[in-house]
Amino acid sequence: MPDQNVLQGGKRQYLIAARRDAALATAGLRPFAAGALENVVQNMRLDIVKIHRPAAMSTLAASADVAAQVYVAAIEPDRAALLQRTAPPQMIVEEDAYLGYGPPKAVQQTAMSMMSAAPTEGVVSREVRFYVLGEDDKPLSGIDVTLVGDGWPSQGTTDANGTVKLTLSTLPGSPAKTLFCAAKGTYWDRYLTAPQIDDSNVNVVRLSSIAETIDGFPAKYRFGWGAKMMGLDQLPDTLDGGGVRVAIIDSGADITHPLLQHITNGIDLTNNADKKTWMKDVVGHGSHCAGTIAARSADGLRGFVPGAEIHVLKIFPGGQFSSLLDALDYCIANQIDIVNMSLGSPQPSLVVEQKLQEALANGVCCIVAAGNSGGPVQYPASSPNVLAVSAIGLVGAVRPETWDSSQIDARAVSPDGVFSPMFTCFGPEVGVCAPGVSIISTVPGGYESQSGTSMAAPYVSGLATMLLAHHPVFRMSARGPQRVHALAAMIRQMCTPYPLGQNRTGSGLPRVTPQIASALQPTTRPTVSAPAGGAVAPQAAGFIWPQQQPMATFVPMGATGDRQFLFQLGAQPSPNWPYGWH
Amino acid sequence: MSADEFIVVPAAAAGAAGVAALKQLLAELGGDPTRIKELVGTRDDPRRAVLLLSPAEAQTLDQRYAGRLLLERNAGLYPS
Repeated sequence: MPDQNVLQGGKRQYLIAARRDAALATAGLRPFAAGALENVVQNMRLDIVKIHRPAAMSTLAASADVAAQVYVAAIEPDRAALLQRTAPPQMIVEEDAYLGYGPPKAVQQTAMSMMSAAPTEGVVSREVRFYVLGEDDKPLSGIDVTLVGDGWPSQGTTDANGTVKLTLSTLPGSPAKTLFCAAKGTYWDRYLTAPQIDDSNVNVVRLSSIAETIDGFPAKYRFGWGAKMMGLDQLPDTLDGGGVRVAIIDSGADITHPLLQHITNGIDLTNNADKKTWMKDVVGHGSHCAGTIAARSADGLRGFVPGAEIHVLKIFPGGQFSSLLDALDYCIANQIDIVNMSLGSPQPSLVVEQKLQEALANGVCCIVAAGNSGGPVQYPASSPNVLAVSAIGLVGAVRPETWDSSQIDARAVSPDGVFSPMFTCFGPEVGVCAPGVSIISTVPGGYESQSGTSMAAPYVSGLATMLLAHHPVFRMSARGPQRVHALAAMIRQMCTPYPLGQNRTGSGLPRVTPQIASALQPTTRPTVSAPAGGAVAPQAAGFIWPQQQPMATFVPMGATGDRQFLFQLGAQPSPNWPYGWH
Repeated sequence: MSADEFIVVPAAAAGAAGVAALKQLLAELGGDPTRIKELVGTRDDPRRAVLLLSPAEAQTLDQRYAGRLLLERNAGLYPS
């Protein structure tokens, strides 16, 4: 008798979305933000079949803060039932039912009272204890721990003794799915799939510090993997970006950090009472970006351009389009050369677009992070008037059992170990990619590893500053859109393409090759005082200025995957992006 | 009536007519200065304003000043 194959019902499709109806507001609850929903769904490790995203949003309609995406997930029916029973009120989980031709048998009106988290029969809920340790096996307090079973995640924070109790809800006989201990300070996070949870004993989780895993950190930690991949370690310290003005529109920068003390310019656009509080960064995001661009030290971490004139424009927390407009006004008025924007919104803006056009016309080069939602490129990265940067990682630089390692899709890894992380936004608007996974940089009080396209954009901003300061092509170039186009074109010309999909990596990773390095000159360029309409140096160092057209489009040559690029000046631009230089 | 923040700027293509339209709109709201959260420029030469409007008001103003003003919700931005 042949082996028996017992047929069973498999996964079915369910829709997961944020509740946005009036009943939610009546109940005094705020809907899920787009990023929050993304994080929750990602942590659930569901089999996502499809993500519906609104194709275009009215600029007058729903707030961009509210998650509008709908996930279609293949889930076992019993797990789906558990998810439905335990879903928070802000969440909708319903079967992706087949549509019929007639009226539905019953239209279910779900009352708010029915949506409260209330585990019922068929659910095994048990209390699990965790003990989180760090260096020298000392307990770590304040660590956020998230445990995922079959229901929604259970979260808690370790107390002074390093312990936390969480409730694990599963189907009978089902194990825990994931355990995540968020990084704090100079520790790596820990992300375990299918953790072997012991109900009766305390479960010990050991976190590794960055210093335990990198020799000489931080005193002798000069270049991270990203800076090395882009060739920064091959350049002398005399090439420091001097003479170029760089703005970082972000959460401020902590200039009490030893590596950021040389930053003296900035404005807090979130605080009308005191514009000088730009030097306080309660988020840590802006300080991280500032370190990648401009960290200055003798032996420790070196940013791309520690000699550049950095302007910190603080708009977070609480950033809105209006604060971005204020920041861009500052950039235009102060003749900023390069602007780093590690920020985004799912909603486009015509008002901001006008301002970006104005910035470009004034010679301000805007470099923007593509976004981390794993979907279409966000705004303003999707603008044709900016250079959008997606993120890449390096397998060898990612610690196992970290959240970063969960971002590796085996189908999107190049032969040299470069991968396109699942979080990175993608689309035809992506200009280039840059290191954005496990990036160590400065934060208030020390250092931290962070991941995101936010970490990738500063590398490109640093490179753009380096070229503007030291490449002979730009030495006497006047401010203006032509200079911005030429700078972007040169960056794309320097790219190593990756076979990870052009929509995910654009032209590829820009690298300072020995040829480029030999062309750079450690002389300070007269950036700001360059006369309008000043002469440029056509075809210097083998670079062709895109003078015939206000934009430059180019295509990779050959199919060998090498870095040869040809500028097709005068070619018809892409119909999708008729006005810009993506 | 719930009020949300909306950014209003002259449409670049409208030139001086856009600035005049914004000046006119601000004059209309002049009796209620609490609805003007932010003004860049002056009332006589406005460049940008953040107004507190109900969604219905925003729709009405958007239609009335179509082609001269850009009016849109002051949406949130996030580190990315």
